[in-house]
Amino acid sequence: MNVAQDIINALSLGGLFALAALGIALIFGVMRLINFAHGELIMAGGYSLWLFQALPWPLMLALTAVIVGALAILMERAAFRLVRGAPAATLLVTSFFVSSLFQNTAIISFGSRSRQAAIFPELLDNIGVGGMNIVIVDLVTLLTSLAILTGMALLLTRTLIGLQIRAASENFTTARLLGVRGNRVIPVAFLISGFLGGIAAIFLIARTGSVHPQVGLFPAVIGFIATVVGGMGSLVGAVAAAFLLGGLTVGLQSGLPLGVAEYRDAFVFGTVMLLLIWRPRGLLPTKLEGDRV
Amino acid sequence: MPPRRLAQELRTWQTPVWLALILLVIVVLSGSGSSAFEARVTTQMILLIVVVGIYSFIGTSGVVSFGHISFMAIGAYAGALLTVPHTMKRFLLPDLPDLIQATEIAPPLATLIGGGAAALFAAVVGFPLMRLSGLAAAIAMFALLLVVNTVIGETESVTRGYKSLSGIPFFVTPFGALAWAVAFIFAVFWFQNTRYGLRLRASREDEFGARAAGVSIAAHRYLALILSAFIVGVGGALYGGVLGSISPKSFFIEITFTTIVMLVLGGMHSLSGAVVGAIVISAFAEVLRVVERGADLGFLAFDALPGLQLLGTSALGLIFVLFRPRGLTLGREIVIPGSVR
Repeated sequence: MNVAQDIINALSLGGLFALAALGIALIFGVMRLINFAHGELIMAGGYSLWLFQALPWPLMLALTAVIVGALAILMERAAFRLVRGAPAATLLVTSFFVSSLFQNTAIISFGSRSRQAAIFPELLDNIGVGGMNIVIVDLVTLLTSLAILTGMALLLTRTLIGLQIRAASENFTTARLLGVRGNRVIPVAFLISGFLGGIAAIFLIARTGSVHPQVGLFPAVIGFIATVVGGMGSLVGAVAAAFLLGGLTVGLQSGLPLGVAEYRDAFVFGTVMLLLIWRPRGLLPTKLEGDRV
Repeated sequence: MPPRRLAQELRTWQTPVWLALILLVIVVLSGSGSSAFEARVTTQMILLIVVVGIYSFIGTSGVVSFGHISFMAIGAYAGALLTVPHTMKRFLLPDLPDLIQATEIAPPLATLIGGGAAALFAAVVGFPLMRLSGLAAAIAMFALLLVVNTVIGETESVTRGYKSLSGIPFFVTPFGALAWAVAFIFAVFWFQNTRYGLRLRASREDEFGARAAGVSIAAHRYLALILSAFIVGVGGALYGGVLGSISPKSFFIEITFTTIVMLVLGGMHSLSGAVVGAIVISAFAEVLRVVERGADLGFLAFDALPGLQLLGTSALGLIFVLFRPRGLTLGREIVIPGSVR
């Protein structure tokens, strides 16, 4: 039964990672930007949940969605629009600065200590299914992330804006020549990635019960790695890599002998290095990515 | 040496000479401050050494690395293990192998060994990574930092884990740090103008062109990586020697961020950029530090605002990357106008 429990844990962690990775991969697709500041959207979502935790939950979620959406749009308009088309390193460094700017604004506004935010405490209960002890939040994370991944797939394949986003990801210049408006597609992509960050924040905060300025760092790092390992520009690849990382983390946690298990993260990130050396263009590289002369 | 030849040599080497003079002036001028101020100047000088080290890889190869601070951590821990007094080590790290526990060597030698340890580490892990370019390289190096951070944090018997390792003698003076900085500025300037440095910079400008001209890019990057790991490792050992205690947290995201800001602000593609960026950010951070702590200047009073220093630094960095992406120096070296054709 232990194995089944591990599988559920792995899928739930992978689902959370996938939400973070999708937010980053989506932006990477449309503007070749690895948005390190995505972690700060998750953080902003967390602080918003903390601020509004006394309100009825639909209102709390609505306000959080507004805040993360607005910040994502702001981020695009005030910073990333100005460096659109710049070399990858410039874009990356820009997002590094935006991330630090948001994080330190949070430190100044809310202090650097953790804030307690007990949202949806009932999610931390256990339920017993066939001898397993499953924490409800794991199950809910897994199901919600699957629903959202399905919804995203539908959005990208069945709607006009989804089609435009995919066209812009494939070739931004050609898409614009064919009438896709860059200043519409990119903000919409940021808006969606903001919502994805907000949803990731809900599960992250429900799980840990607290929020602090660095809360988004780890999910952003994972999303960042999943995007590159998955094959830059490939959303499916990023999601697959996120589940792979989730599985690897849980697998190593229960598989490594005592005394070595503490080094779990070193093994996870060591594997990431090996994967990149093995396939520098990612697991599922997009056809158009890669250098041409 | 005939005067003409001497004048020509001076023209060639003027950039490091100017940079060294600027640093000398800064150290001399700051000598009149309190001892706490002096320690901060020394700390910033060591950050400058780290930035010069990072430049010698990123600036010459054009490969962005977010993992160089792992070399700093290795240099710092190697230096600390060799300089913390024997009696303190027995108390702090009872499980340390006897050989290391009994060893206590002179700080300058320990600093060199710290750099050597970092260079050796880079030589062992670096080669396969040098095949990567662009984002894959940046992420792989970042993963390296995460691995090193975890290993240092979890190996309690050697490093005291996530607790801080204290008792490092305060052996770095402002002039000591200056001497290391100047030595490395000359060394990196020399390196970037050797044929290896020139080929590497050619590959930075045009990877495929350089490859077509017969440059083995991975091998050249590997060489630069080892050199830069040595410099950054020495910087790490010195960092321990000015702070007196280190912990894995000292060598993680925050300092990675600070050093990258310095490099970007000055201009990633020139040695002068690395040095100027480090000086400007240090001065700026020093001003903000006063404000952050809260001060009363008689006519003007501030409340303490923790986080302001990093907020200001990132705002400045952002403004630069948006409006002057090639940095203060625009990727050029400091020379007297008209002296170099």
